[in-house]
This record gives sequence, C-alpha cells and structure tokens, in this order.
Amino acid sequence: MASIIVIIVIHSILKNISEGLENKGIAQITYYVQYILIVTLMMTNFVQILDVIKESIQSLVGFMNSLIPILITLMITTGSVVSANLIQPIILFVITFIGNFITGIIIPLVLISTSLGIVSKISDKVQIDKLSKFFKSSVVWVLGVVLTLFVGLVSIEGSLSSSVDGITAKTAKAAVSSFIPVVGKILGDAVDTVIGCSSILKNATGIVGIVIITGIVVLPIVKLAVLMGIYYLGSALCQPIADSKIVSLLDQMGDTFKTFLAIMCSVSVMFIIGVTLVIKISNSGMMYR
Amino acid sequence: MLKIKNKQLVNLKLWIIILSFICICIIPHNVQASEETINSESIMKSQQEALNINSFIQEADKYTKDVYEDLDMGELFTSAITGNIDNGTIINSILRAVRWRSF
Repeated sequence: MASIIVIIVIHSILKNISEGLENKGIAQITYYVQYILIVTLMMTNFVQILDVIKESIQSLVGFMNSLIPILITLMITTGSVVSANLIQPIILFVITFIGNFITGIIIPLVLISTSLGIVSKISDKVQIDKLSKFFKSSVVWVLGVVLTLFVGLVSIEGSLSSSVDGITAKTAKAAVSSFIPVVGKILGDAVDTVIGCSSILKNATGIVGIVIITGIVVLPIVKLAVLMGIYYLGSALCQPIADSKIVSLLDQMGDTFKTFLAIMCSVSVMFIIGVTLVIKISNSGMMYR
Repeated sequence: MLKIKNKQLVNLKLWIIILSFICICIIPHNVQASEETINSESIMKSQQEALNINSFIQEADKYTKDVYEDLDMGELFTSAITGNIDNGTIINSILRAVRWRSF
C-alpha cells in the first residue's frame, strides 16, 4: 500500500506541473502510467490472496468430507438411525456443491466484477461500473440463499427425525427391559451406557472438528480483513491528493476483499453450523430417554 | 380303580416337585458373568478403536499444523471427552499464528 501511495503522490506532483504547462496530453499519459503501475501492484496482492482462498476452501471441503462420515457413524451408534440416513446425503452433497460452486462460479464472478471495475476507471468514456456492482451484489445474494437453504434443510429434517429416533430408542429399551426375563433391566442399562459413551465421543469429535475448521479459515479471514482495511484507509488518505477515479479504484479493491471476506466467513459459519447441528440433532434425540 | 390311579398321579406330581426343589437347592450356582461393573472408559476406548477415530485425529492434525503449532489434537480430543477444554491455549495459538504467519 505504501508503494501505491508513493505513486499517487508522485502523480499528483506531475499532474500539477503538467497543468501548469497547460498540456493535457502529458497529464493523460502520466495518469495512464500511474494507473498501470497501481493496478500491477494491486494484482500481485490479489493473485496471492486468491490462491490462499481457493486452497483454504479445498482444505475445508476435504476436512469436512472426512469429518462428516465419522460424525454420522457416531450418530448411528447413539441410535439416531433415521436422522443419520436423512442428514448424511444432504450434508455431503451440500458441502461438495458449495466447494465446487464457490471455486467454479462465485470466485470467477468476483474476478469478472473486479476486472470490469478496473476497466471502467481507466477513462470516463467506458463506463461499466453498474455491471460490476450487479455481479458483486448477486454473489452476496447467492451466498445468502445457499447459507439459508443449507441451515434450514438440515435443521428442519434433523428436528423431525430426532423425535422419531428418540421414541424408537425409548421403545426398544422398554421392550428389552420388560420382555427379556431376569437380565432385561441390566441389558437396558448397558445399552444406555454404550449410547452415552458414543454420545460423548461424538460431541468430542465435533468439538475437535470445529476447532480445526476455525484453524483452517482463521488466517485467510484475518488476511482479508487487514487487506480490506488497508485499501479503505488508503482510499481515505489519498482522497485529498489523488484523482477521483484512483480513489474509487482503491474503494473497489476494498469492496472486492470485502466480498472475499464474506465468502470465507459464510462458508466457515455454514460448516460450523452444520457440525453443530449434527451434534445437537442426536443429542436432542437422547432427551426422549 | 380310578381313585387309586388318581392318587398315584398326585403322588407322582408331588415327588417331581420335591425332587425339582431339592435339585435347585443342591446344584451349585455357576454364573458366567464377571463381577466387574461396566467401565465407561473401556467402552469409549473400544469405540475409538472400532471407529478409527485416532487416525481421523492424526489426519486432522495435518490441516492445522501451521496454525496450532503447540496444540496437540489428541490432547484436545481427550480434554473434550472429559469436558476440560482449555480455551486459553486455543486462542493463544491462534493469536500467535496470526501474529507471526499472516504477514
């Protein structure tokens, strides 16, 4: 950012000199040179952070694909068979879908929006700013819809099936306790102990999963937040001396990092909510006992 | 004739009952079940081994090597089972990673 500010300061000095000479051609050339330099500097940051985002989303999806089968198996051992059968396909599908959707559609859309924003600030003649804004807002809307659908589906199906699981397990335990003579009560208690142990293991695995999800996303989120802050601060600092188009370009880059931050936050929150719901659904089934 | 037969049958029944009672009292009670109570720790250990949770934790460690340098996922899992998670250690390792690794 320091180098971008230095370029802006040099350009403002050159602009004043060229205005003094009353030569519009020189002023235009210096503006283009400054613009190319600033965009080149910004793109190096941009490409690095893009790689970090893609890598962390792939890690998240990979980790979730290994966590969910274990959690579902532990759910089955706690007696939540119906919930496990209902939730597993939804969660695994949505996780893989979200990973591919973000890397294949959302990130390219943000890239298109950013490039349109950069192009529209080269000169006053080409104005495609609205299209860039449209892409950016549609990305945010799509993310919101996906997040709502995921949480809604999992929680509704989970809350319905957990009651069925709880009642089925309670009936089974009552049948074992009353129909098996002499040892029925002991068997029923042993089943309860095993189910309780499985539940403890499931909760512990879920907690470890949440800590790991946090660990995967924390560095990209902090990087994005700092970059966003730097670009907004840079645009605020440069406003008195820089060209208005350069100021809005820095703002545009801040917005792009904000969109990436929203993507990372929503994906991580979605996965954390998913794991928490899987834990809570089978726990609520156990309440019936 | 019929009366005598009935009396014999009643006697036979009585003898069977008395003999069964004597058998139940005399035959030693050999119970196969052990006196050990159900130990939840051993159940959890066997479940961990059966579900291969340890290998999952080792695999999970790879994802967060850069962030949680000081945090052992196995220890975290054990503390989660006992309900004694040290939030301070997790937060400190995140802060350390953010401080030294991000920029």
